[in-house]
Amino acid sequence: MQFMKFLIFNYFLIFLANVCIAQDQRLFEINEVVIRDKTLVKIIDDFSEEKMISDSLYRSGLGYLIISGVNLTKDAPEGSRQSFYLNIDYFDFDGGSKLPISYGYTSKGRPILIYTSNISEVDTLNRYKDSNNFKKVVEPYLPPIIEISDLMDPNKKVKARASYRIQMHGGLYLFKMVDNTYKAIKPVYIFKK
Amino acid sequence: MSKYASLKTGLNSCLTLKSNLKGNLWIFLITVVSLFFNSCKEEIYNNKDVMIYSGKDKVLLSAISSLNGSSFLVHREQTDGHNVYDWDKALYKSNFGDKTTIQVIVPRFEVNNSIDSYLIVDLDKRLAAENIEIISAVNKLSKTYTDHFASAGYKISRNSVIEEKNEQLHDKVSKKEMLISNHVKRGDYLKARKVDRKTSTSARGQNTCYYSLSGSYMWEANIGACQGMGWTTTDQIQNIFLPTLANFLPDGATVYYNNIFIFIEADNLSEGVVYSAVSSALQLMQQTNSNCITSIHLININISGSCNSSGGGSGGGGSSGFENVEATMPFWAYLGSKPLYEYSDKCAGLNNIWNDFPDNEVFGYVTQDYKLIVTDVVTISGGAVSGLYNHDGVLYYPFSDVNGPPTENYAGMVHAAGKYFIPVRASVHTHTPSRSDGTDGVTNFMVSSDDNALALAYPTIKHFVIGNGAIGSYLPQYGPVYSSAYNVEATGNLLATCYVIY
Repeated sequence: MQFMKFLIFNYFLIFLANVCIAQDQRLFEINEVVIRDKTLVKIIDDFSEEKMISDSLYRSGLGYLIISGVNLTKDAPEGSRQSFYLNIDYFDFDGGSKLPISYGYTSKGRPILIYTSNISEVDTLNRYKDSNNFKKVVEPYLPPIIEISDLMDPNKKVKARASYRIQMHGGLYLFKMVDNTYKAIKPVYIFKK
Repeated sequence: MSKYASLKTGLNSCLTLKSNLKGNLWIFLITVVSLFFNSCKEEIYNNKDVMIYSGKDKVLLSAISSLNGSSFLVHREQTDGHNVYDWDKALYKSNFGDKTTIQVIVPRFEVNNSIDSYLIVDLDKRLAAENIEIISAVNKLSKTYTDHFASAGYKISRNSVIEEKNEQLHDKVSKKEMLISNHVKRGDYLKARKVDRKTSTSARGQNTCYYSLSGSYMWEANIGACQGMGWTTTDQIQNIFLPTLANFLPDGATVYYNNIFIFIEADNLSEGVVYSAVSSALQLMQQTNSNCITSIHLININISGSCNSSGGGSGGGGSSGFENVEATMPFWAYLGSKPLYEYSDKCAGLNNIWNDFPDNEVFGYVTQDYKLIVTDVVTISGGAVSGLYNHDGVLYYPFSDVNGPPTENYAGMVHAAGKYFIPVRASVHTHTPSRSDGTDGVTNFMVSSDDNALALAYPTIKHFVIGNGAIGSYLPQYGPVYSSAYNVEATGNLLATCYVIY
């Protein structure tokens, strides 16, 4: 009987440990991170600064940066071992759009959304168990939410964005070379099968 | 012996069980405690030091700017000889290393030297510990400004409230400040910041409050046309902008137009345009780009008026006055642009956007009834284009009705909430570089990240690209991009192949 209790207790502990692990995984969902790769950080900062000059919408305070993973193609520079795509964007996350893996900030405070696990050298500043915190971070950089009459029922009020904007082109392809340097290419489209 | 042995074994197992239990209990307790700490781990980030100073103090300005190499404030010499602070570059949140955040807000006031500029530095304490140098520098600056303002009769509080020595005014002022700041927070499109100041000899009365409403991207309209059709900017500003502004202002307010700072986003590098006038007539002071104007960003306006909550006296409902600045923001209802071009003949339209814009990328949508609306013309190096509003799974192109209805009639179009909503079935944009790079811009090319992002944003409609003698389509990819190439829908003359876009 005693032994049975012991077994049940152990099972309970195993169950609890599983719950802990599961919760821990959820805690890592969209973390605030700092990219450790200083060269990459500088490239991102410079890119953001360039957009501050060349893009009035971005300069006016809207928009965030995105960095995503890109498959290497045969057109990639020789010696590339990883490739990324860097750009700005304005799209909202209201409709359950693709959420990033993590996010950080440029040195001037613009959010940078990280969509690739290839940037593994990061320091996690904060762990958030759901996407709400992330959405709060991005919200100031999105067109504001307004209340409008429903399209079909004027008496009903619905939430909408004051404007919907999406960035088309103008990004930067980054290739991390075997010697850890970067090559940046800025075309609209260049890569073939 | 065997009895003794079995007794010993029993005792041993009992002891083991006990110690196991004890050990497990500790593990259990540790797990519970660590879980508790994990879930409660929350850092407080909002301790802030605030300092305020006059923007005219160039010494401090340069001292702030020199902090860790970050420049907060950019002076720009306007053609009329005034120094105007470049607002949009002034609102920065800067990280020092990765541990200190400083936020600078500099409303732009240089109106006959009548209103002090001020600057607020928020020093985020969470990051303070590892940046002693920055902290001491900022503290030093803070002291300088405390002294500066003290000599001018101001007190500095730690909560960004400007306290004036006139206590009566201060009471009213701080209430308004609170009210506004409660509703208009950093990052909102419209920021309301009040600069209060006694006007001892003003004809407008004893207590005049000055407000700076700073925002961006408040209003968007196509106010000009591409391809050398010229401006009608001033007319459009008078006809559209001012009535819109009138809707927004509190009763009895006076707007100083010489503080309206408008960005006009054009097809190339966007430039600021300052409108300046003595009173109500707007004059274009600087015109830097005359092509393809797509939107206006209102950056900053100043308003003055009675500090009294009853406003101009004829309000009736007690709802006039500056308290309601934050409540009168239906400004946003005017956002959205009428399509630049509309084509009932889709093929003619597709042909036009390919032939007429050899140096631009053109973006638009095919409507539900197979017409074409062109919404954006951006440079080869890209730009923001107009997105869609999702209502019950139908994607609509929304735009303000300020400029009137669209030229064409569209099946399923809705006019509601001050906007028109045109239902669309596909996006289309040009791959202009293929005109000269020896490719068709489609065949064998992998779907680019941006094109994929568009498809991810609107996966329920089709997406097409027009290249040089080729039309491609693509679907959203959910992994790393460059997994698949554009589907080549057709090759050959666009007029003959355009039917594949629908």
